[in-house]
Amino acid sequence: MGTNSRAFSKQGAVDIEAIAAALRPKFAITAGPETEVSHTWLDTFDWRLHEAGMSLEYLDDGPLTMQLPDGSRLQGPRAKKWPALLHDLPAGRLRDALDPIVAPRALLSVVTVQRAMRESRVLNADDKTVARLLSESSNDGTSRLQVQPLRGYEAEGDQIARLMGRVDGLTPSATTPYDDALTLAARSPNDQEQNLAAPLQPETPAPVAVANMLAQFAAAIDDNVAGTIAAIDIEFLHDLRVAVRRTRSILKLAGDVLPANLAERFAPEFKWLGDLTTPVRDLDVYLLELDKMADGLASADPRDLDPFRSFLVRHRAAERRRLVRGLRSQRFKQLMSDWRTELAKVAADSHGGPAATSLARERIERAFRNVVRRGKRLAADSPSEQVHGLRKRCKELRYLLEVFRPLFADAQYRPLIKELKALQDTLGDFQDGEVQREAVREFAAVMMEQGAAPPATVLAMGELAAQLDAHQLNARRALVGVLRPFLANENRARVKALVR
Amino acid sequence: MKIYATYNIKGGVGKTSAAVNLAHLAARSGSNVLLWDLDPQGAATYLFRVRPKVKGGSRALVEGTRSLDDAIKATDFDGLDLLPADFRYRNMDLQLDDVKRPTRRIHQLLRPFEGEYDVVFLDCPPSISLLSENVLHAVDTLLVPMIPATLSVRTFDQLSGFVNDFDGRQPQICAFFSMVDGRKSLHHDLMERLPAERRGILRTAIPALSIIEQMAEQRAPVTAFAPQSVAAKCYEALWYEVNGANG
Repeated sequence: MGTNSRAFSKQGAVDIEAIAAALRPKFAITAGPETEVSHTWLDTFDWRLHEAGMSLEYLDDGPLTMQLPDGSRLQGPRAKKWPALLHDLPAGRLRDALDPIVAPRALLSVVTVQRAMRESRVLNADDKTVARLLSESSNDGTSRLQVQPLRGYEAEGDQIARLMGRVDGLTPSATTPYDDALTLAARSPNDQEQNLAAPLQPETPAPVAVANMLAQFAAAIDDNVAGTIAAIDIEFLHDLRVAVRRTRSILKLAGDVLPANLAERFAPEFKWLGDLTTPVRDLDVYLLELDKMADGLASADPRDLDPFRSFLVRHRAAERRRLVRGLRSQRFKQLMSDWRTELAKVAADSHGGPAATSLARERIERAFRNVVRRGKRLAADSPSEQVHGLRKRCKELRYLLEVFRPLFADAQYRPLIKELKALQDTLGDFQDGEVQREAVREFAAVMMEQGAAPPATVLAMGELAAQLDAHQLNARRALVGVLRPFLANENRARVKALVR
Repeated sequence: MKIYATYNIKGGVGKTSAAVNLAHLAARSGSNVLLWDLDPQGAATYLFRVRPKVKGGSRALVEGTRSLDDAIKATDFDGLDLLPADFRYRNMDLQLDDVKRPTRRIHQLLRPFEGEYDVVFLDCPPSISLLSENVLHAVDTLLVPMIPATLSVRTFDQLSGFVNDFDGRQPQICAFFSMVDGRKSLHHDLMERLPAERRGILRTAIPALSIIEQMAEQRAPVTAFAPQSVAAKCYEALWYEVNGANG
């Protein structure tokens, strides 16, 4: 890629003849016809492609084009309708390239704009096409031009861009067509940052700081309700749950600084909301993991698990109906509306009181002490309840570290978070092994009661349970190893130095 | 990634015309296609208006000091890229002889493109050499254009015998009649007789037509500049038969 901009903008229509004159005698232009097209861009709800510096678009009924950060492009057939999960796209290289970035999220249409477009070819002295020149004009009278060199002709692309820079009225453009279209979109990748209330400062009064964090989680809950109800992809529910869990943890760990018994009033309602979302999420994880687990079966045939999969799908459908009823209920609407009102009041009315820094210091030290106390008591043969207790305390510490992040210096924060993550991963493996194994047993019992479990399926489920047992045992063995560095004196010093 | 080569020990039998038109048809049907013009004469490169020059020549490619990737040029046709010829390819035999596993080098060089291209065509120079042996080891299907003549049949038999002696993986050989002159009775006789006598000879034949020669004037595949012509339809039928054979 050269140093010249290959994108230009212009007020008014593009004069191809003026550009052709600037490119002569080295290059000639063959102008294509101008056509009215609708131009649509896609991304996941959480902007995964945008964050990876990519875009995904199509013109009219044309194929999908993925633009990669290095300027290269990948094309592939599109899905029949949007939103679409990756398996709704025809198999091929584009789908393979999207998979690690997008899955398990769905692709949604972000914005569609109408443009008058023209694709011209720039030819060298051999009449060989060396670049495409794309021009598009929008209704507001601005035009954009983009030089796209063909593979192997980057140097020519730079030459063309340099020559075009001399044309009157053409100015190098700092934005992409996607950037421009995004200004017309209902949502944009920057919404979240813009929606942030005043960023957390060391001197922010503690009640205001806590109310602001909770308001952010409330916004995340609201954002994910429609996608959960519409079953666009499983991550809407996951993100909704994370926001609920964070809300509950902060209410527990720092809710006492809020006035008017807010924490006591709202904690039970958020517990209700959390419980409402648990069964479907558990089943989502199960279904997501099932194929991988089935591949690991040694004795049973993976197909033996088909009745189990059907059972999970049926069970999930029933649980989902309950979840959707809950999310559409007056109770939920009232909870969220009351909650937002109360938080806004706190943010507006609270003055004085302890500063966010002192709250952060006190609560993080306490949470860390809790983890250390439980961690030290833990041995390789400790009962599962003790391991789960430690896991919960670690989660609480993690949430506190995340919400007070703006107050910390990187030097202490990064190594601390890294070791905490390693510990949480092992604890998570342990917990998943146990919960899933217990669930397999319960599911097997229910399936047998319903007469939905042929003997081969029950045997395969037994093998699954054994697999999960082994998984848990591995995690248990690894646990003491990851605990040791976390409990070391260095981390205590880091926590002390974290909030000054 | 399917690798095809158009190959014949004899020259002037329609190898390049077949490579260029079939590669264009594959790209037109949505595949990502790379055509490597291995012939130092550079006819395919000329047809696509690309300059016959590769930095460092074949030595740099064979020895791996330059990646094939940097030498690739897009053609004017969507989905069809070209690895151009270079006059220095005439020394490729000697350079191949200097590397480890000299008969597998071309195959090795193409391996990194597995994810990028669906179809690769190798347009080979007419000869029997270390380069052609490399090509035979690299390809899935060898496309052998033959002028219907007794000597061509002998060449085809030699080639089949040579490939049958390979250990392990052997390319599929698909021969087809090329530059067929409808007025010659010998052409008719051989075309009727041979497919019955020998395996690996396709039904589709490419006639000798002046429009195919016009490719050098037009500098484009006949399937692009005259898609409705008899020649273009013959190449379509050939590609269909070859693809079908590879199912």
